[in-house]
Amino acid sequence: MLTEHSRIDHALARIDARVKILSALVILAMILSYRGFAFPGLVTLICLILTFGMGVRLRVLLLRYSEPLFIAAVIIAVKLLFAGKDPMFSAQFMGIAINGYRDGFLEGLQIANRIVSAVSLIALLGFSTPFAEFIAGLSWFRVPKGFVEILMFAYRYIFVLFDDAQVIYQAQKNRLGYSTLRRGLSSFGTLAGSLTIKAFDHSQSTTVAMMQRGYDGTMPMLKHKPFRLHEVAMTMVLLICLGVLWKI
Amino acid sequence: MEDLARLAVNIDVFSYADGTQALGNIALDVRKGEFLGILGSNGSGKTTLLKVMDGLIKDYKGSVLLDGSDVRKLSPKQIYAKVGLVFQNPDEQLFAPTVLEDVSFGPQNMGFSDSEVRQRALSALQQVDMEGLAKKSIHHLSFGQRKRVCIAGLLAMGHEILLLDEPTAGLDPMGEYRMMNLLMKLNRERGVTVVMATHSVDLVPLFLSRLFILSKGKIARSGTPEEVFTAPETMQNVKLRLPQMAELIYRLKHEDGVGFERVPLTIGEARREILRTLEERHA
Repeated sequence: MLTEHSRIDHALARIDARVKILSALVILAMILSYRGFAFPGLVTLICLILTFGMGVRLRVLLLRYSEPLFIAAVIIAVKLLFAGKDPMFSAQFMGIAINGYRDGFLEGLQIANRIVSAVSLIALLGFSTPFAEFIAGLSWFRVPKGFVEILMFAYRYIFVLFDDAQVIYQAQKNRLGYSTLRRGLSSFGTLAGSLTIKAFDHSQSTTVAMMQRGYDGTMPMLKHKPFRLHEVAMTMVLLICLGVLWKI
Repeated sequence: MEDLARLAVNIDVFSYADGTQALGNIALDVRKGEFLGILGSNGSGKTTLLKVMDGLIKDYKGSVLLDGSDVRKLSPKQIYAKVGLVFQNPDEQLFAPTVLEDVSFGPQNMGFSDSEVRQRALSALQQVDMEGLAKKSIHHLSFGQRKRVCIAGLLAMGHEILLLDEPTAGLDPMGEYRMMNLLMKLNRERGVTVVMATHSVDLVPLFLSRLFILSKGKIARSGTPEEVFTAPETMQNVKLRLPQMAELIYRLKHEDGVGFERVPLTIGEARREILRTLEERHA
């Protein structure tokens, strides 16, 4: 739920989710197919400006970037040390020769640049698109309706069931339910069974609660509205501009 | 108009599938604008009675009339346009990712425009003092806040009758007080008819206008809090107790011979009664 950290009244948040998803996919393809640093770097810069413009705090952003940045760093290190032919440096560490390669390093940087750029783009999409609108957008892209509805419920109930699982696990642990491997397996089986029953109970109650509020089998938030012409036109202009930059 | 029964419940008998009788000889009416309580110990049939009133249980002998129409003959949409049940566990009721999306669900199903849906949802959240948390994820809310969102979800649809199953269960003392104040505000300022099932006897005299004591699926006693709490024996028989203040004064009166005229139910009433008794003694 990235929208929790951003301003929901921002202009970007009001744009149709389908337009944003489609644009993100096109730009993602451009990033991945570009050979060089400039285009992904530019996309990263624009995304960061827009993300901060939406009121996202640096700490939140760094938290989101921590994993991809770590992966990018590992890729750079691996490429530097194990790929390439043009020597950049040579060193001895505990009697082991360590060689770094310039072309490997550049290749690693290029991949890392793409990773950061793609993550920035997807983060911007996340910060500017409420979850319900995002999955409604997915349904327009012909993602099966059943899958989209499950995705919506899963997001909410994964936390509820996780809490339930924790309570059951603690209750079992307090009574030595995991003292031996055999007991642990048996307890885990009981936990899984209890969770299944709880999930079923939850589903029944939730259905009743939803029916009380007019649910008739179709989720109102998944109904699609017509596209707004000015949004589509502006997006097309943006994509064309980016396409020209990508070509250069 | 004030005395017009919105819900008239007459249940001869209702039994669960295993044959256990859950409700029997129930006759109660809910009048427009009332704040009514169903008091009972665990397993007394409070939740079942609320489900009957909400049209969720229909295989009983008897009748439940909503504004004069048998709920069994009404469609779910007709029932739920007027009556809404708030479950004891909010996690069974809230399903959308964020507060605003969940509260918007009802108005969206009613076919309102986007701006009307948003306006209704925000207004309902304002009524339950949750407007600042509209875009919060449901799982980041406290238990009390989640209960408030459940109520907002029904208010956004314009429900006139709210049925609440143990609305104060699981809340801390301040949370209990805030919840009851919220319900009282909705009842007095918005004219929402409130029916709540509870076993919190200390809260009842402060807020409720009329109550029904339920025991083993039957109504053991009914009336205003003053009428119901005059007989401690009845309360013990139904596995409940008097409000703590009433219990104290009752014991002082009957076991220590202090000359209280009446048994007060709230701290304010008890204070006045104690001061009056002390003044009489000094005089």
